[in-house]
Amino acid sequence: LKKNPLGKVPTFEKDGEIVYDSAVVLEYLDGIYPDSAILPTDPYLRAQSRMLIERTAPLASSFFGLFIIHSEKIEGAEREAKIKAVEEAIDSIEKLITEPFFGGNSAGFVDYLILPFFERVAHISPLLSIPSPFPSSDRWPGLSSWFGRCCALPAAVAAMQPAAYHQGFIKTFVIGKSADCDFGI
Amino acid sequence: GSWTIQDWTRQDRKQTPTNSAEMSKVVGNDTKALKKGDPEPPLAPGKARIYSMRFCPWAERAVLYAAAKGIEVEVVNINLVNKPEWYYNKHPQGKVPAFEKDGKIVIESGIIPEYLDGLYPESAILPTDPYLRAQQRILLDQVAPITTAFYGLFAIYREKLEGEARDAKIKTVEDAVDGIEKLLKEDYFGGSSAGFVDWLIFPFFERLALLSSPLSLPSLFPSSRWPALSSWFGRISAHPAAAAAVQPADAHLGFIKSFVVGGAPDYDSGL
Repeated sequence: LKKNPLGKVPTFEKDGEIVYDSAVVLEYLDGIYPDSAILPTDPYLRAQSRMLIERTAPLASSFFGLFIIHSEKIEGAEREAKIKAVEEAIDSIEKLITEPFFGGNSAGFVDYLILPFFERVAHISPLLSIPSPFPSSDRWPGLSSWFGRCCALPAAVAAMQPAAYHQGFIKTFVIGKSADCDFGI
Repeated sequence: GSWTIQDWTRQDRKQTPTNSAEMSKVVGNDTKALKKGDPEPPLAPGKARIYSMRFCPWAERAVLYAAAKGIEVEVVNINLVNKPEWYYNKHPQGKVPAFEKDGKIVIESGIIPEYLDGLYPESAILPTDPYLRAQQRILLDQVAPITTAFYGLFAIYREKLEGEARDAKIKTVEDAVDGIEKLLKEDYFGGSSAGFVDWLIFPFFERLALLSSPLSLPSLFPSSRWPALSSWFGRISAHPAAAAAVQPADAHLGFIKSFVVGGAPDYDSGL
């Protein structure tokens, strides 16, 4: 909590300087490692990246509803509402997809910031027996092929947990209680 | 001492700015709101424009930031319940603010400031140092509770809340202000001069100050309950950029009254 008063992750530390909040950390990394900058330096392209992130916000705020369904065994209308919120969020982002990545020819700021949410929706959907889970090339052809491309990126391979470990974690995750954060290690 | 609403009216402020030449670079802030059927005003190449509404705190962020940067910009006000059809080409949901220059449009009050600093780097307000920049973003996140809490004051007004319902909304505001008081360590959130966080948070404290007395809040803002923020508020209210964006108290209260009763708000209150 001395690193991050909110007690949340991610928190980045280098040379005693600490930065948290995912989008802020990404911009900070570009600042201290400018040779490998991912955010555009052009002000308009940079603003477009940020505006695009805003439009994906419904997924960041709704995805956790799936975890709540699993953790608290939610049924009925409340369950349907949480699933619908995620599906509608993905519908809205499907309209924004550009090929091959949101960042253009290579993965960029937007791709890396939103990938974790799609990854989690993909992992938890089978556990919840969702009728048309993500990825689904019928309902979300653009995003489903984008997701496949992203999962093959070296950065994704480095950061993502194997599906079995991730699903193992989700199964042990009960809100308000301890979870097995070391699952698979 | 005690502060009154009158202390912060434009009338008094007109006497204090030291550089009134900078105020005039933001033009059109006190123009009538354009509505459906009104033609789109042409925008010449190289000219900058902010689409706003005189009493919207989010749009005010953009006007303040532009004024603080000293850039030439035209403000076009939009009637938010009867929007010109062409305005949806500027913002997909027809919200304010939006910034336009040379055919490029940027929306979101949290994104426009960085864009302005990118277009006009000589007057940059956000730090260029990556760590200091990150600190300003983190700080903005930490002061964010006031941006949602203050809507509770509108709810008190609109629904004539009493008792527990009213107290709950007031407590949300007071908790937010208490938290922010602890974060203010220097003259400004930006350090020794007004910065990114100062401009983006000021509109909400401006409205808290405006409504404190009319709503008979148990703790007025500004007051000795919040000494750091109260001094800050006096300092920033006297800044020339504040004079460019803030509406006189009576016009603003007139708008809020029309807003809470429902129907068509008086976007041109005071004009």
